[in-house]
Amino acid sequence: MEHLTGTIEAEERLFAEIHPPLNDSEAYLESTRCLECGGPNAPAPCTVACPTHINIPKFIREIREGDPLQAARTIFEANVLGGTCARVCPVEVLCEGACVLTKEGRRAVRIGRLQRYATDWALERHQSVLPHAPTTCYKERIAIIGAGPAGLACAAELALLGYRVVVYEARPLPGGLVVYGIAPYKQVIDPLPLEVEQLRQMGVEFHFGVSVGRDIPLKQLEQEYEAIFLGIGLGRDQSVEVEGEELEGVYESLEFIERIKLGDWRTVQQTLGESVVVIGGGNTAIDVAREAIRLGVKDVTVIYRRTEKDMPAYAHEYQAARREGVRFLWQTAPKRCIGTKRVQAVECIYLKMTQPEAGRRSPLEEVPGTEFILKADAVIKAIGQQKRTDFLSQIEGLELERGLVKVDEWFHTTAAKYFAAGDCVNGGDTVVRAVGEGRRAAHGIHRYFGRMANGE
Amino acid sequence: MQIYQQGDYRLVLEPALCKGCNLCVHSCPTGILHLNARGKISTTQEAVAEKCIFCRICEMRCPDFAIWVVKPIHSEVHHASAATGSGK
Repeated sequence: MEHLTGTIEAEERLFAEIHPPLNDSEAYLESTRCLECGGPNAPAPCTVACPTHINIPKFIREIREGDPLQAARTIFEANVLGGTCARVCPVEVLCEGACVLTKEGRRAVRIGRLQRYATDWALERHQSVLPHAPTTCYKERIAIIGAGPAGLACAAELALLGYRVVVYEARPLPGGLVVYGIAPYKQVIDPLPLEVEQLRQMGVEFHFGVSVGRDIPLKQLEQEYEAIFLGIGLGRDQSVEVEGEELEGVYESLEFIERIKLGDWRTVQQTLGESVVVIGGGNTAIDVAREAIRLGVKDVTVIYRRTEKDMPAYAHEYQAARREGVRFLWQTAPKRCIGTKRVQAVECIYLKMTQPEAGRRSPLEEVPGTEFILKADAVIKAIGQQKRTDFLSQIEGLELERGLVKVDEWFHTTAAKYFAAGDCVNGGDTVVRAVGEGRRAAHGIHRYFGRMANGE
Repeated sequence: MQIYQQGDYRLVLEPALCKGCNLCVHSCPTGILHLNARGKISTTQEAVAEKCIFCRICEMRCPDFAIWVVKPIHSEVHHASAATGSGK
């Protein structure tokens, strides 16, 4: 820890990106590996695997031909957060996982990093990469609640279709979880501000720091706008519901990431001490565990209720965490956090699986007498986010399904004026999926006004 | 010679050169190639139309030059039509 505290080296290590950008020749060489799949009727597997259906063979060809600006345009045409997605997408299970080269036993084309090369090239030079909104303007106005990936994608697509769009965001910055919840080794904040700037140029209006329901009543929005898009995501971290959760040193995962990204990571580092226990088995749990390692914590333990193969985290993220020295305890649950003012340890207990009912996950049962104490200078809870039922229940006629908004194939909710997409619909998934859904919802709104989108 | 045409794209098979080694059949990522009753390379027009992604792996694998994949050099039109739409 001494060698890290307060040094430039520590900062570099904390924010060092896992996949640094490619230089010109690396990008060229990588682009030549692409087979440019895709026939008239069967698109390339990578394009099919991408939730926003970026025309990947086309943009890779444009990089190879020495035209990164055109490549960036190809990317942003399908995905307004193309630069962000290039950094944060789980490419191993999306485009790169589908690359035909992998079926040949060869390494997939590094699509994510090529995408980053092209988008960075254009954004860093402040080149206009999005088409300008059409001059003909429909009379309908649309309110977007939440400037996360789904909201931004929906806003951009609606602006391109010719609608007047106003985005309301409670936080001071756009981006939602991209800014507040994605681990800094994947993306700090850039290039999101540049991407949002492109949206502004398209005529999208933003109101930051305005919380719908608190600063502006929903009824007022319903009167002023012809359609409302809900891209509100999910809420705070779920409570683990154990004794001692309120002790100092017990963090929520989102609060933890937000503080190291936007606050003072040094004070966070000082509170972590030598051993950190992370509760949960999802991608966020892996993220915070890997962040803790980068903050210089010697002993990071993830405890998860089920087994290795039940873990919802991506296999490649889990393997990377293991390589970095994160320890995993399976079938283990926290019983209480021990400490007087600050947390000092977590009492855990082993669990066993019992016979499952058909088609359900097997219920868990504590094994009596297996309690043990795990030393912990800090505990991070990462078992998922709460549903935002409080807010959603204010909307008349809006049906929920297990706390998530129920939508049809065009992301139209059961309440007439309302559309919704992103985490508040899918329960928490990738940025790129939210972008894809937000974009489709925009076409849903277009259809709702009785107009058909091109090619639909 | 069998020619399977899809717009500007063509998959050309030459059974006379084929020795039935099965390499292309195994390497095709969409699984549209097979050996016919005489042990020669074959496929169907429907399979090519629906599934072929013209990746050229069969052509590269074939040791006997019995397969050609012909693609337009700038295939923007087809790529564009494949990727537009809103989340289809």
